Amino acid sequence: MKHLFVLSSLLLTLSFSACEQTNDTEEKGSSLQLQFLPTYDGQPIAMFQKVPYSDGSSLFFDRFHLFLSDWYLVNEGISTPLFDVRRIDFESIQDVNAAQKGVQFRIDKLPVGTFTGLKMGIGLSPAWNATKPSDYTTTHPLANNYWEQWNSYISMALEGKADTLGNGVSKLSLTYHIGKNPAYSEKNISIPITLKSGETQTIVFEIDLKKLLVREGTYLDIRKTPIDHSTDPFVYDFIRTNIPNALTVKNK
Amino acid sequence: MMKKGLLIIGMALVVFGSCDKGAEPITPTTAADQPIDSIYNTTPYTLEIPNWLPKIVIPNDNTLTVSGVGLGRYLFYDPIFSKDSTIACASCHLQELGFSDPRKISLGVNQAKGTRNAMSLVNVGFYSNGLFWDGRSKTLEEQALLPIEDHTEMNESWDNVVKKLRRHPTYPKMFRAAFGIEYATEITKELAVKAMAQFERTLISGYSRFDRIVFQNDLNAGFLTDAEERGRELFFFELSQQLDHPGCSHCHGGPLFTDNTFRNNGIDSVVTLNDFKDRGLGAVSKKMGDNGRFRVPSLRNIELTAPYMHDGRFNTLEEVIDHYSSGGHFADNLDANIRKFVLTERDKKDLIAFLKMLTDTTFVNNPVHKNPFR
Repeated sequence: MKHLFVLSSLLLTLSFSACEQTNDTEEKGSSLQLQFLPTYDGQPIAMFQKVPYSDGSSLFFDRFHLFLSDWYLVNEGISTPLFDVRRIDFESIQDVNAAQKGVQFRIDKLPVGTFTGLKMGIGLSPAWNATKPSDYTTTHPLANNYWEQWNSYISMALEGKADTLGNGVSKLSLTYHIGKNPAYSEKNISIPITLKSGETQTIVFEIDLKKLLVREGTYLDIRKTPIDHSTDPFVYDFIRTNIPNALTVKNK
Repeated sequence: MMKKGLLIIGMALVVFGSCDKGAEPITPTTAADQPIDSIYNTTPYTLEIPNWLPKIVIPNDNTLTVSGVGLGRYLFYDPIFSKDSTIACASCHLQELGFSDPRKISLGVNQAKGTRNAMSLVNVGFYSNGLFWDGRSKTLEEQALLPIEDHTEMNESWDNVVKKLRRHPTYPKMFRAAFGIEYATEITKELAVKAMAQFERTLISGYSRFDRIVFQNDLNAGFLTDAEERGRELFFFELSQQLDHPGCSHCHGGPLFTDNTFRNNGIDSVVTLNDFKDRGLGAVSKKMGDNGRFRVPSLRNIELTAPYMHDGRFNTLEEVIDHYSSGGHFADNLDANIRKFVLTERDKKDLIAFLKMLTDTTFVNNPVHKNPFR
């Protein structure tokens, strides 16, 4: 009887050890790093860096933010949540080195496996937009960036200045603030993603700021409309439909 | 729970009541190497945050307790932190003025002149993006470390402060109650700033007339007057893409009336971004585009927190509005939302009428935030 008890205890201990190992591996999982590079016409761009605009003027940006929401890894119709809400902010990118690094964040404890693509919410889905800053802690991105007039968050903001006279002084202030539910869109991309245990995969995205203002040869007349806070229907529609085109995968 | 806390604060009041300003002369009553004869009180302090404000993030290693907040309140009002026991945190952060300083530039020990106006501490626990006008401290705990050794503020060393706290007749017991230390020698600057940060996180203002009408539907607060309603529209709403609009809420939107960012609001005239006399955020980040950028302060209790701007240059709200309507001084990093606009005298009065709705009299008269030495 005594031997049986010892043997049982030993087996129990061994089985627990095995369980612990399995849990460790599962808990460790894999990681995915998402990197977002600011570009202009395909080239890295820092804030305050002057670039030519389609109307012949030069301009620079000094603030940009874009909300992303409800991203999933997908594989044969099965979606695995990646994150709920993130805010991509280029304000602190003020030199070329920083522009080449962009902003990045890592998502840990992802399941190991092979995925065929990403499902990406660009902007804030109506569900997120229906929330208010009071629903969040102060460090959450949705604790700020709320615009009472729309009862919505500002899902994308692009600000800067343009030199329209060609005299080297960028005096024309540009502010484009896009929000409300129609500013949200979903985009699916096919990209092979293999997540291995204990390893970090990286996906690099570009956000081409020129594409927010220019599409297929048509450009926003920044002299006529240097400001829009989702008030002019034409400008609003033009920019909001440009947003998903501006976000592309670089290392496909 | 609250009663226990009040009892501790009450007991402390009795002890401190007999002291002159609670700091000098110091008569040690407990040898520093003897165990402190009192209790460790872990009673949690429950923050009452109006449900229209965001939630405050409390660090895991500094959760609020009744004893900790009580200690922090004493430390906040005690000049023991300054070299000559003349300056307390509260010397530049007056409760009746929304914990702000009415002087243009705040003064330290021996009337030493600083370079900036002390910021209001209204809702400082909600600041998520760096404290001070230049954002140089990430947390309230980090922030509270700095004024003590600043020569234009307390001009004291932390070593001396810690010595004074350890040999103080009452503080060792209060530190034990708050943090469970056993000996006075365990009092450190880290514990002192933790207590102060706990108190500062309780400085929550959310019951102005605006809040009561808009968020609470409190009929006792009345209704918005015509002037206040017009002022509110000017503040929040843009009815067209016309440029001549104040656009206040681009930076002061949301329930906190700040977006927690740093901006150049055009108050300084410079030729290049390197020419700012006070570089603000740029001095911290070392990025040229951040030069001349300063924290966007909350407008809650703005009626009480004059003078305005980081250097206190404007004495009245009228001057502030005049500045913004001028479009500010141009610089590459002048905030793009700041543009010239035209307001009639009536517009200006209405906007100010709205701003005055943000005054929270319950906050500036709240007895739990008052000077415990009086």
